[in-house]
Amino acid sequence: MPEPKTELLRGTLDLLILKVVALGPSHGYEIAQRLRQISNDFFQIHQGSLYPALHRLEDRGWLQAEWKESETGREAKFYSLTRKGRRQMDAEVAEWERLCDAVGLFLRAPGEES
Amino acid sequence: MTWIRRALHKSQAEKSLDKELQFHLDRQIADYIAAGMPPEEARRRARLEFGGLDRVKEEVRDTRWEMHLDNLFRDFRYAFRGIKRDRRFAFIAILALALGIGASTVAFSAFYNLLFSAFAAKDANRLVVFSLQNAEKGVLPELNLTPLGGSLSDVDAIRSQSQVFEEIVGYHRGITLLRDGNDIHQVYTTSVTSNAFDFYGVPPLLGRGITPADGMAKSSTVFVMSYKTWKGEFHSDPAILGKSFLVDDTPRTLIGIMPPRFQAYGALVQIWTPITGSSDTNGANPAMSVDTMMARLKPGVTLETASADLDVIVKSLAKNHQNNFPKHFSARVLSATDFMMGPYGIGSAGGPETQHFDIKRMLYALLAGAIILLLIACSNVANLLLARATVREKEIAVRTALGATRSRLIQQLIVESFTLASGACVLGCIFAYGGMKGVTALIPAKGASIGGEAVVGLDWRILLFALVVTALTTILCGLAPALHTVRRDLQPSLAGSDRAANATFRRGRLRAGIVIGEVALCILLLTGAGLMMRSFFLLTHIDLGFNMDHLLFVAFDNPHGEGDGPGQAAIYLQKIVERLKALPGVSDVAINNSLPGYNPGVRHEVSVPGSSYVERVGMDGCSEKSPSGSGLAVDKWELAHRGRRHRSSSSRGDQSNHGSALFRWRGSSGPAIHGQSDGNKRPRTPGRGLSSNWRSPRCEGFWSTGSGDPDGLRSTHCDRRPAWWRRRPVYKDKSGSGVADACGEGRGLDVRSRSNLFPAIWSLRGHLLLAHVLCA
Repeated sequence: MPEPKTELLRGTLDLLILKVVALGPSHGYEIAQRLRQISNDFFQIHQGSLYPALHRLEDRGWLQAEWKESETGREAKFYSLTRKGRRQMDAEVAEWERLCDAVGLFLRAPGEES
Repeated sequence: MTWIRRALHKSQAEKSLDKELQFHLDRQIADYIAAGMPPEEARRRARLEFGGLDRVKEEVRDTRWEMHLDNLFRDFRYAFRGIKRDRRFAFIAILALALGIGASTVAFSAFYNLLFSAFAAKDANRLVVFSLQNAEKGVLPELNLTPLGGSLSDVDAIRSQSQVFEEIVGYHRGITLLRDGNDIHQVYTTSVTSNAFDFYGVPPLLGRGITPADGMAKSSTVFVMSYKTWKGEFHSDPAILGKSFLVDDTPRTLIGIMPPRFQAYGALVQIWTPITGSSDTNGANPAMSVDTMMARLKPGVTLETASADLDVIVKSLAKNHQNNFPKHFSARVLSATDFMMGPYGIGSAGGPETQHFDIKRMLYALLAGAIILLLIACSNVANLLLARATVREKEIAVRTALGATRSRLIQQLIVESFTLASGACVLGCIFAYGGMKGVTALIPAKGASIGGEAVVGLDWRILLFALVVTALTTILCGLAPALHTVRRDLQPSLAGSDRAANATFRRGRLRAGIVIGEVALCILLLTGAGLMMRSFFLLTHIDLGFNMDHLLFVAFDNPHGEGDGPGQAAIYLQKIVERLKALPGVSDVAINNSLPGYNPGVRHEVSVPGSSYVERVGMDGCSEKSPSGSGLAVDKWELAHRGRRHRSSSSRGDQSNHGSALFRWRGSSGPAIHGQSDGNKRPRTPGRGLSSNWRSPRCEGFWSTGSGDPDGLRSTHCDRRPAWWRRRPVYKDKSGSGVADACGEGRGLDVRSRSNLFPAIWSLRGHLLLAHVLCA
């Protein structure tokens, strides 16, 4: 198993989780899989970070959890986005985009004459 | 072993977490198998990837507050177990802390209730009392600060001219007889301007208070009684409301009983009467005067501003009545608390036995002492905990190795000290409850100069203080072992070796620091306490220079102006002496102008003619018999006697030489000297050194006797009275004739007959008041 390629920026994991959960209620395993799939194996979230993060977000009221039957028929804990969580996600996305734009502008700026 | 079962029983949240993580793991394994991995390999791989299940759980737990609560709960349980296991330690630690917390709670209660909640009045923190500072040279400033008295027109003038006072009231205190049929009660009384009860704003318990309407009448016919008097002397009988009593030979109706927490205008007051013809009324009698004025500052006005304002007004008033004011003075306001309990303490009880103490400073000292005691207890317990931490080093090392973080360890230690401190808090509050009973019992009921309104007891503020102290104690005690724990090297303790010399050294420094601090505090406290006890011992064992056994002290006033005018005083006093002498059981009577040894008059400079040596002394006017009447020991009496003889032989024909003086001189071997008091520029022939042991608590004194009349009554120096006598409004005592006290000697009386003596004395006349047993 390759080591995670990139150290996640602090606070980014929360945003990614919120984004994944926004697609629909999902359980922890699903979230981990999706994170990997969506990012083309770029992010590999360790369970040691994922579950504390999920519980933290639930504690803050951004996620809500529910025990439901999963696709395999076993009961699993499904997380879904709360209204507060969605607001938080939108705010964070906007913030992230602004940051990207700014960095992009900076990088695209004409370099020094050479 | 229920705790084990409880520990094994997992909470709902824990179960749910287990299930969630297990689900994840199983799915991973299933996926790997589906991808074609052999089941065994799949399981291994999934587990490897997942990492330590317990570590993940621990991290998840840390994100949830329930878990913190759970941890806290566990720590408490653990702490209790620790206490149970080591009961001796817990007992000592809790007892030590409880003493500290209890003592500081009692001290704080006294401090808070006396200094910050002393008055039941509304807006009590804005109450001030007017005072007059005599700025003339040669007098101690604190002895020369007197309440500002004046006529009612003065009160009105200040009220109309000042900008800083919301309202002003005036009052004067006295002692009178309250007659109820055949019962006679001697009571402290205060006459108040009729706005005084509205000013104070405390509703009466029964009936009504004094209202402005009561001041309108030509003569006042009502009075209000204090709760203590009502309860103590009238057995809380509600039927006495509306009854008529003879107060100072005037019939008055009792209109109200005040609640327990109302002791306005004098800490000992038992009844209040209105001054008739108060301000703003047609029947005003502007000549009526008061001996104290109290006011409420407007919000936001400082004492300095008010003092400046008052000074201007009073100085302009003084121009019209120069006789009533010292040559140089300044008027200022004192906060009511300072007036009652501050360094000047001039407002205290009111009465001949008034003494002032600087209660304020005393309370600060008490609080400081209690806090030092608490600190000592804390450092003691910290040391015990530290010693215990050393023993527990291994346990803590194991916990650390198992992954306990520093914050968890510190939390646990703090919880342990908090458990001890809480136990101590409960016990301390019980101590405090008992202690406060003791403190309240120590406050003398009579002659107390402590605010009569203050209630020293436990209320929510005091309990809050105890809680805050407990929290501080927790931190103080828990900090040392916690620091010790987290700074330590893990390995040697785990190994159980004694290689930890280095660690021991560091720990040794911490412990030594605590011990040094503790010993220093102990010495501080013990020295202070020792000095205080020594002073207390000296005060209680002071040699007054005379035998106080079977000595009664009777103070009396002259409300009817009898004996006024030149030459009348001696006759009047003589009459009183005769009547006192006639009482059964009285063997001798002498006149003294104050309680012997207390309140000596203004300081005089005494010099010996032909010598440059000058000594300042206080002067106490008395009849010649006074020293013997006071039961002076024989040798001293001899000296006194000789002094008198000396005078007798020399003064008869020589008009310039009136009066003799009995000196307390330095050492008993002082020569017979001629002294001169320049207080009233009268040369005096001295007695010999009276007694080397004579020590007045306030200042060294000498007795002065008059001449010309056989008992020396004429020139008892009433003109040199303490200011509160002089400014008394009802008695015209400019000639100094009106007030004097008598010392009577009743040798051979038993206590019962002595108490029978009081009614006999009271029945002499309404103006013979306050029979007081001097050191029974």
